[in-house]
Amino acid sequence: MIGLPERAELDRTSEAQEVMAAVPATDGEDRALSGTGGDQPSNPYATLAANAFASPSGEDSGLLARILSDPRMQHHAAGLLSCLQCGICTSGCPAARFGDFSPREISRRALLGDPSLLTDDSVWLCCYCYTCQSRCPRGNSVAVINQVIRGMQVESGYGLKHIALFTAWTDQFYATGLGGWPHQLLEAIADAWGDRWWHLVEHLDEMRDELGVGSLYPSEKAMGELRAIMDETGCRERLQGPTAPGG
Amino acid sequence: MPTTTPDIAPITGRVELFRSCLVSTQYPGVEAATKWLFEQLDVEYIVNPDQTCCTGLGYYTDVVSFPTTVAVAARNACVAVEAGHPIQAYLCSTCYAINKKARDVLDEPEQRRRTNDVLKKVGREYDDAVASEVRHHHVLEILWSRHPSIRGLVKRRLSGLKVATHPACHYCKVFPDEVLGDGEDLMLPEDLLEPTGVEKTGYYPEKGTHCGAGFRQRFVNPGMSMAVTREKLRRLAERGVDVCVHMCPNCHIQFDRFHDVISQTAGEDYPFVHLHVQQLLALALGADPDKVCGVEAHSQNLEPLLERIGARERVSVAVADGSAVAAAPRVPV
Repeated sequence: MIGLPERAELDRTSEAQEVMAAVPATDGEDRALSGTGGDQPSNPYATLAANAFASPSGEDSGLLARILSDPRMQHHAAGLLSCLQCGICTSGCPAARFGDFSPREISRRALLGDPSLLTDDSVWLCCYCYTCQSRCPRGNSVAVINQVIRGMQVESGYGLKHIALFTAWTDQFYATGLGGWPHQLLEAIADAWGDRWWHLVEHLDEMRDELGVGSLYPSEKAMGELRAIMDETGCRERLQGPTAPGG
Repeated sequence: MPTTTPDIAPITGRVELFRSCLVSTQYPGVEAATKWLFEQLDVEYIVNPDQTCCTGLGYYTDVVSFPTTVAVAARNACVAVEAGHPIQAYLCSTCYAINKKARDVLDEPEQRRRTNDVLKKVGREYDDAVASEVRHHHVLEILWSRHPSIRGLVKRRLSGLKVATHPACHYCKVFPDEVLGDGEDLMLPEDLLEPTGVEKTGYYPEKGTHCGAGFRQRFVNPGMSMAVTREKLRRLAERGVDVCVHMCPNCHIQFDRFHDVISQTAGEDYPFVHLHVQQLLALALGADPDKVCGVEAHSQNLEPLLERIGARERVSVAVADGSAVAAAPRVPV
């Protein structure tokens, strides 16, 4: 049987009084908590909130602005800025349930502009299922924030170790115009799939002929245009890591 | 169970069936079954060889940048409009989400200008005319818009067959306001199948949980990936379903190819199979399981189901090693 705590354990009155004593007076000059002075909110709770989301070092890393200005955040920037830290993102997140990942923490640190996100490996656990986005009461999207951060990690070189297995996709796409899971990826797990999958691999062309679904590949014209777009947007160079100055 | 999917007017414009890389390489019967249904329901469509893959798997494994993805989506929209078939109908929920995301971003003048700077190299422009003409629909939405015609076309009643939906995340959660129905309890697939006599499952615990694939996670974190899939399989088994239907080929891979692996590893029985919605609907409307639905590409043994619904002669015999699939002859048409 679970014992109820003594009343005294629930009594936080004195602790609350200590916290409130630290809150600056609403009309006073003491802005020690915010540290910036000037146009500060007069509501003491807003002051506390402003401090909770201030950069730990007091300096703006620029990361928050970069996330907010990413085009993918177009419908989510206001949501990030008004994140309640309610945790509904984490409650539905499969990577939080079965892995060591917290979308709520990512949102909090994004608001702080916490530069350690750019060397955080946990963002790579996101499954991109968008459960966080679809349930967020504020319209935030940690799934999109993760896409932005992973992209920045790739472009800085830090994240290259996380994508090494998948660069074959880009090579295949450039060469054939076809996506799909590259065979080197599938073969690593296909032993478990057994003979029927190997049967598909060996007979795919015949099956497609019988089904009348035509060529696997787009037209030569489409492939040419696709390669031009990939070249123009630096698709493959991006995977080589940052170019050395003057290199 | 009453139908809850909202009625929509028939989508009557000219359709480009947007080819999916995973359908093409893993379950080509999904494309063939969709074409067959379009023909049954008089959907005017083409498959456009100038369309390329959406980049979805590359984008979501973080090896393709967003500007590349948007430019590819803009080009595909130009190509569909140029061909006079501006309604892009998606077999894959990731193609659906990627192209809709690009649509929204291309509405911003600065992003459109940057993208058009890229498209200039291939002599194309995503202009107001393209933006106003191109439309994005999941194939199931096209079919649903004509669902009153389905009842009269049923050739094989699926009476008593209990069907559950695995709602695709990239259909339900990326644009939740544009979902036909409730993204947390999607009934579109089951409502579409209702005229065939199926028993609908409706909501079940874990219904909204993703398939487990998680793009990179299937390959990099298989433990996490399989744990999610197993949870879902257990819940579906508890509800006594016969078929779990899918609307995204990546989910379909996760369930069809790993179903027996997880069952054997976990020592649990999940006595049901996986099919795409269009495959099961086509079977009910009389389609050939091989020449239209391409069941040979599946990892699960579908023969008992095909016998049950009258799509195969009852000739297979249960054998201990599960080789009944080989014993079943392919029925000539």
